[in-house]
Amino acid sequence: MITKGNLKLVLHLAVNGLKTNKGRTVLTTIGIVIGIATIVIVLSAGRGLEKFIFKQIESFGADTIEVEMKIPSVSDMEMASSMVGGAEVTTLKTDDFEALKSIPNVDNYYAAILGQYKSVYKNKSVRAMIFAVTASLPEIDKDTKVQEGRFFTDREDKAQAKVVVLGPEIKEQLFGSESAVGKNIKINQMSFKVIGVAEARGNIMYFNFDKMIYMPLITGQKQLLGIDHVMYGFLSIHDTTKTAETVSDINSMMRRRHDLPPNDPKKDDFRTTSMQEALEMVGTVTFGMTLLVLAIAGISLVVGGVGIMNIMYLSVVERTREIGLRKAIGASNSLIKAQFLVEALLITGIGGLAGIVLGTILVVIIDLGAKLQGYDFGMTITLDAVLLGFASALIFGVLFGLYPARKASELSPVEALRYE
Amino acid sequence: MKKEPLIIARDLRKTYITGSVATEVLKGVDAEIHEGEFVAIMGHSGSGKSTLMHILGFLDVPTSGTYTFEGKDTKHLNEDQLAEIRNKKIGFVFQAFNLLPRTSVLENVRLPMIYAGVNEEEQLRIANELIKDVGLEHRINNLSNELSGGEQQRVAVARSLVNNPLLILADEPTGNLDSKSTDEIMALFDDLHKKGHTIVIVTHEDTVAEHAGRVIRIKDGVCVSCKENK
Ligand SMILES: Nc1ncnc2c1ncn2[C@@H]1O[C@H](COP(=O)(O)OP(=O)(O)OP(=O)(O)O)[C@@H](O)[C@H]1O
Ligand SMILES: [Mg+2]
Repeated sequence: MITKGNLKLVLHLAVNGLKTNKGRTVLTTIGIVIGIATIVIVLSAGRGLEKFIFKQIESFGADTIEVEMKIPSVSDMEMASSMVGGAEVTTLKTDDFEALKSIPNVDNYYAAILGQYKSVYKNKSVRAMIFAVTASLPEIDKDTKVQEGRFFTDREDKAQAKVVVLGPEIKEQLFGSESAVGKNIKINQMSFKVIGVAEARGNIMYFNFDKMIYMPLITGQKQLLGIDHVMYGFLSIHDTTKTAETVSDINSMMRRRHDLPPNDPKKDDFRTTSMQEALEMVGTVTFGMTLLVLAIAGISLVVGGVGIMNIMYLSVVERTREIGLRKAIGASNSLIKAQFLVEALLITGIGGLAGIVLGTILVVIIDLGAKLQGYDFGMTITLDAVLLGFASALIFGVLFGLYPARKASELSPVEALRYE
Repeated sequence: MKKEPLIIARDLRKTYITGSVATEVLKGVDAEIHEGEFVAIMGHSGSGKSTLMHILGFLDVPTSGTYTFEGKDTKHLNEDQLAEIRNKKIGFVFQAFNLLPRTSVLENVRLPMIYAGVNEEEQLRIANELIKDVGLEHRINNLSNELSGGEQQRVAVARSLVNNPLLILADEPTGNLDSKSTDEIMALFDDLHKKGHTIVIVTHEDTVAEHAGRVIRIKDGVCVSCKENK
């Protein structure tokens, strides 16, 4: 159909064909641009969401095991409601975590308890989440960093020092642009010295670290809450390949320490979750999501593809008379098909490229917008999205540009000329 | 010895089938046309003049009968051979002009040469010359839809001539034109005839038919006075 000898001629015909139908060419191209941009955006959004969720989980660390308090022999739902109802488990202690450190694979831990208190600086006040935690937090949760000042020390924890580290949003609310480090704030009418301001982290699994006030665990327990238990703790481990064994070591030790039967998890007053487990669980969820994203991408492909198909088909069918005329003055069928093939290639190729560019620009804009709102989706243009988009443009465009041209070229010139 | 006619039609029939109704438009046309002749075809509207012209110009095929062109039966020609004949041997001028819309005069006239594979320089030379011959050199870069009907028909005549065809077929080329444009177009055909081209023209106007050396009449699907009278 297209040979080296007639390439120039066919290009001339195709370019003229597109030029003389400028309006139609532009509309067809726009249709293709939109179709391809949609495909690119949807695929990128899906990929971004997937990565976003993985990042959230990974920020907790795949090499950690969580031990949290649990009301014995009830389901999660009941636990949630009984906690709201005021039931509390007070058996989980820092000593438990100290003891768990003797398990060979356990490296370190942090233990924590949460509470809410009104915090005041001068005439400003906020209700802040108090995160009372051992000084080891930054060693385990590596994303805990201070932008100013310092984190509290183990010694300050033991001494129940009244020091706090502010989450950046709390700092902003209480101090505005004023410097906070070295100043005193009041929590529950007691005076605490600000020794640091944490770096912004944003939302991690619906947990806003930026709206917290960090203080030493024992300070929180004794000075504020008047208790001696903790809500949960994270253990870091050396060897993630032995996570399962470590979890069962932890369980046995905890049961022994809490005088629980060794093989009756229902009676446990604690629950152990490895982040690896959580990751795997989320992995299955994410797999489902990947399928969903693929389904959406499939739909966008079909929608984009059908759009391209229609527009190409109609624009070529409309030119049946023109095809008749070309045949009447001596165009061979193969030259007609070659011309329409090249026209379709040019239009879908250019439209496809423009669609990829447009889609990429929109993805960058959406991503920036989300970042400004505090969500780092990390929407990414993936090569497969681009290739899939481009390939579908070409396939749909060429197929449905060539098919009607072929049909029209098989009519006799008179029949084609008579076409309305 | 007399030369074999360029066109020999024997018992040409054409039946159109619309739904379940079959209409036989040509009911056995016999005709002969010699090289260098200027023939006019006349007949009532709907008598099948265009149908016959389309068959003679290889734009359509007869339902039955034989059509011999240049001494060769045309029945077994394939699509590509038909395209080549339409391109190189026939110049067709339509009643409805049939120029490519939104395309310049030059590009319209060049088109048959593009399909014939004529080199670009030659294309431009011939196109320019013929556009000048039909008196449209000042319109050469205008788009076809910017021209008057008479001008469009002159472009169509120029286009029909670019590959120096054996046979020029014109289906009511003056049907949509006023008398002045008609005279201009007919002067072109007279000129072509003098240069030795074979011309077949369909017309309803006696003044147009007078330019021809011979008039063929189609009546009730058959041909009257269709052989050269000696
Ligand atoms: N594709 C077709 N299908 C059905 N009938 C057709 C078709 N083409 C032509 N006809 C019929 O064939 C008859 C002859 O048509 P044709 O166009 O050859 O007439 P004509 O002699 O050229 O008429 P006019 O002088 O009006 O141009 C008409 O009755 C027309 O309706
Ligand atoms: Mg007619």
